[in-house]
Amino acid sequence: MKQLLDQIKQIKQKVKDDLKSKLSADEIKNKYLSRKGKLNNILKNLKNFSADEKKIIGQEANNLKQFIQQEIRKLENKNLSNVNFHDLTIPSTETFFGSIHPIRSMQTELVNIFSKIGFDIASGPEVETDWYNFEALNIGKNHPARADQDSFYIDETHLLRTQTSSVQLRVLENIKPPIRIIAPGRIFRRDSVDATHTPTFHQIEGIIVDENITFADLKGILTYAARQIFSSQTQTRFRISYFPFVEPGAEMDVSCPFCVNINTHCSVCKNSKWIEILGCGVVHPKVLKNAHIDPKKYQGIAFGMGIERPFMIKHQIPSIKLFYENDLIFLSQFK
Amino acid sequence: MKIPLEWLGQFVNVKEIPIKKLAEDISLAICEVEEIINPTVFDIRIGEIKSIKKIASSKKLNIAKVEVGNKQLLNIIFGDWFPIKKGDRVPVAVAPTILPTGMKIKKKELAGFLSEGMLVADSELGLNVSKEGIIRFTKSTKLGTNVLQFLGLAEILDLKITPNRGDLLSIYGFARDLSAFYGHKLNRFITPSLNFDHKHLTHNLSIKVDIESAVKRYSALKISGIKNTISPDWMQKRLISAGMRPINSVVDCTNYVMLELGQPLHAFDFEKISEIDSDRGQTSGIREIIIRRTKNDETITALDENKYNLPTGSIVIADYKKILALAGLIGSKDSGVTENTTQIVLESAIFNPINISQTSKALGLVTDASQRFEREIDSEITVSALKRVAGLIIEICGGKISSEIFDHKISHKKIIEKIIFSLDRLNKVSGTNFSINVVEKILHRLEFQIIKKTKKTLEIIPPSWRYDINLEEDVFEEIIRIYGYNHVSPTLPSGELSLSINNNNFSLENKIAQICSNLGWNETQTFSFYSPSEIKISKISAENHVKLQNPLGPETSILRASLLPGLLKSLHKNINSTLSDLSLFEIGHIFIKTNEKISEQLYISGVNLTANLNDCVLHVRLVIDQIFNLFNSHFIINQKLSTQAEILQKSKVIGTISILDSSLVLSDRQKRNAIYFEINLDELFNNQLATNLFQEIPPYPSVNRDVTIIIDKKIYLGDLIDDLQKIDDKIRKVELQDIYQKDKNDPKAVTLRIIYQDKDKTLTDEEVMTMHETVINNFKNEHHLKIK
Repeated sequence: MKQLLDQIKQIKQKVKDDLKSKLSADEIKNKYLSRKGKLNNILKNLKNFSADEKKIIGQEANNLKQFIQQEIRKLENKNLSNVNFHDLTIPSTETFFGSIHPIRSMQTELVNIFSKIGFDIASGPEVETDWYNFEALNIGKNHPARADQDSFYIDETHLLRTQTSSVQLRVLENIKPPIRIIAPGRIFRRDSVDATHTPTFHQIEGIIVDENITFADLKGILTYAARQIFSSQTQTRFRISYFPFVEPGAEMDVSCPFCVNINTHCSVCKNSKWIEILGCGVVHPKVLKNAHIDPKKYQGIAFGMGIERPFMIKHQIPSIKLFYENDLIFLSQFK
Repeated sequence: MKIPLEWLGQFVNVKEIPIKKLAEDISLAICEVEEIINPTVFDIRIGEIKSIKKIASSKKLNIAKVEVGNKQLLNIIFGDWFPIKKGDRVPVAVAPTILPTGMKIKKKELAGFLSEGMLVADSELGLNVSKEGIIRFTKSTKLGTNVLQFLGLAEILDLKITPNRGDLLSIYGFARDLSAFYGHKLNRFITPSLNFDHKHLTHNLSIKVDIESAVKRYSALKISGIKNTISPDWMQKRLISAGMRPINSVVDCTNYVMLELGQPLHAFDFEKISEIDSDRGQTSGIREIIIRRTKNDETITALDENKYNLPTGSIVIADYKKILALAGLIGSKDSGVTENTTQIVLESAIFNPINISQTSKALGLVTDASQRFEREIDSEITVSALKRVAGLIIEICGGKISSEIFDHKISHKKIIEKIIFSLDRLNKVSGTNFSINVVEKILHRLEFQIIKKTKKTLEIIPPSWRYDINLEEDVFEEIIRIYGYNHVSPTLPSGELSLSINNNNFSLENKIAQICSNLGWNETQTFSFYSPSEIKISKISAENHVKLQNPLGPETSILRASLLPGLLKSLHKNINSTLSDLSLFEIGHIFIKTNEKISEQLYISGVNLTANLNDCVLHVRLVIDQIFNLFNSHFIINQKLSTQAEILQKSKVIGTISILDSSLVLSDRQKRNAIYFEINLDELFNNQLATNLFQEIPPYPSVNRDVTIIIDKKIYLGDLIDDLQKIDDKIRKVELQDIYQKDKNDPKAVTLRIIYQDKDKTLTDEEVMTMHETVINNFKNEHHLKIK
């Protein structure tokens, strides 16, 4: 393979030499791009290589082809007459373009996906009461689950919400089923900054309450969403998990979008082929009772997923810190 | 929780299942598998230090020649962290390899020398084997042996157990669930029977439980005549594999049985328990253990050498003079067993999980025991575990049982609640079609008791170790997980759509962000807190700021009452990498405290940095105009100070524009001007107009006239244009065309375009001229301006 790649490099050099020695556009076209040209000669050998190698060589050959075509175009342009000359290649003088923060982009993408299947948008405050953030969600004062979500407290009863699930009760209390909402927003956990933690991050919560909504529906909705986010080929799997406000509770993994080749090490999924993406489950009857909804008549499903994490997976961003450092070189990569 | 497969195999046979498949099955139906630890992938060998030299150019580094088997000699550079001497046999990572902690070991140059590996400390092995922090092997070991295999590590599964599943925090408990999942036979734990020989009973131990509410069960037993040595190899290997450091055989046995059965156990040195004074002031020979709550200001110096101030009301195990142990958490240093201990009291108890959790939180102390107590322990296993550990200790250390088994059972017995299970509800909630037979089979495997059965309902009692099963829904989860979450076929919901929420704030916010972005502004996101020193920048008083009770540090202790400090941080991040204009904005919540009430509001703030101040104003103004334009909303800019103006909507201030003081814009090499604006979006959204109604398109043409005025004094252009529009209702619009200023102190030449239009007829030239004359005269006479 290396030999072939070297040949491609050599051809590029030859083209440059030919340009210097003032070969005409047609001559260059003939020499390199025709059916019997140098480039085609190389591509003839391609069939002897593996799919992965073909990809690399193909890419290089294509780059070379584009280079030659552009040089030919430039040569041809030189031959245009000077009468009625207009330059349409002048660039804009705008020195920079604006950008939407990746968190907003991801939030909007998710909101759009869920809107398509009938979800409305709800919201709640970032300074939340202990009731909405914990108690109402079946997480009592001494519940071990509280230890997993170390919180920032403001006083005895107020804290910065640790999960967008805090919006669940606020919605359930205020509107009557059928309910189908999502709530994107900012949340807070008492974590020091490192590559995977920031004390502020974002989640999107979803909840449906209706007479006949099922665990199977939960799987269907989330699989649909995962395919919208990643690709139509994405597979999902559901694993047992525990969140006090759902029962049964689950976590959803998506098939790793990056490790196509089984033999190479995948830094995204650590070769497990699966990436954990969200927590979900059937709404716990206590939560419905807390909102004065009859758990005998109605049932619910709910899910919560991070905003930064799927974006990081999709765009292979190495550290969550980047979202909050606001370096323009980072921000302007995403529109 | 680490599960060594070799140990697991004692209770359930999973040998035929490849480890990857096993791990996957577990993670789907039982708990998350964090890691599969396989010792052979780590090239860590027993190596002998042949020579050591200090590296002259470095304060801390040494270079050693290390033999790692087959006469292979490596150069290895190491620091002064452990006392290493010639002849020591220690774990050596041979480059290239990785450590169990994930660290990659490569050949690399340090201080000018090539290091071909690394001496591996316990923490880097992921184990807790030695007191010194690095394990040393004896001369009888074979150089080059794989260290992890030598330590008895076969494959280990590292599991993350969710807080509801305390029953999985033991090898046996885990095996029980795994066997239920696979339908494999469980090799049941059988409580050993102990030899009680009455002639050995000493009748000198008394146990008094002073607090009924916090102790569910307290059982204990005394053994005399033991010799406390080091534990046998097999036990040490299992302990190390499970992540515990062997200490001495008594302690090891208590840890071993805790890992095996999930019941935390404690051993006291009998002779360190104080004797009760008899009536005549002589010693009675009787030692009493008292379980009580702490009074004010009691302390304990624990086995971990730390001194803890105990919260009042914590449960302690004490004698009448001193505290012996902090119940469920840690023993005291003074009551612990040592190599010289010959008589021990073994404790197997169940304490109230809430008490343990409160004390654990208050002290910031989490132990293997406290984690298990907090998640509740099978009340049926207390005495079995006591007998198991007693049996093991006698087997290893000798000795005889010298007391009866104390078993203090508190009789506020939990009434066993039966659960009524309905098949129809299971199918309605899960969206599947289970049959009663499948359900029964699964429940049977999980050792649920079925006490009554109809075609579609079951009356069931969960096993004693499943504290997490209280409702029908809990049973649903059990059935679905064993059946397989992934065997439930996904469907899409039917049912009506909700029409109850009609909130478009999210999309408005997005539109505003899009406007800013289209105009060249970059959106940022910063943390919602700042430091007390940034309160001044926000221009909002300290009393109106919300303080966090437990911030990560002082620099993030104040909730933001303004987006400005955050924006400035983002500005400074980019200030010298962007040499032309720089425009940043953020949309986010701010928090204002008034009269102890916290109000939370959505704001947009932006800052623009531009060389020319007029351009800077125009830049900011364009964004503001466009935002208000989105709402078809009229607003007024009211300048009150020389560097600040208010944005008013319906005579309410909903935003500000201000020129930032240069002291806030740090180290800008280009000395650009900075303007900041903020708008309260909640207010803006609330003032939204109702649906726009069509307005007729004027059928008669408009006529434009330009005028250039020279502004050489303090005059607000905004007000001027406002006034102009009031002169005649045929002036449809006044547009700013251009501002020209040769130099900062020169007068400004401002070109305005005035658009005249009559909705009832076509304006004649004369009519326009007359009106335009009035306008010009207005400039001259009312404002005393020159016209160009």
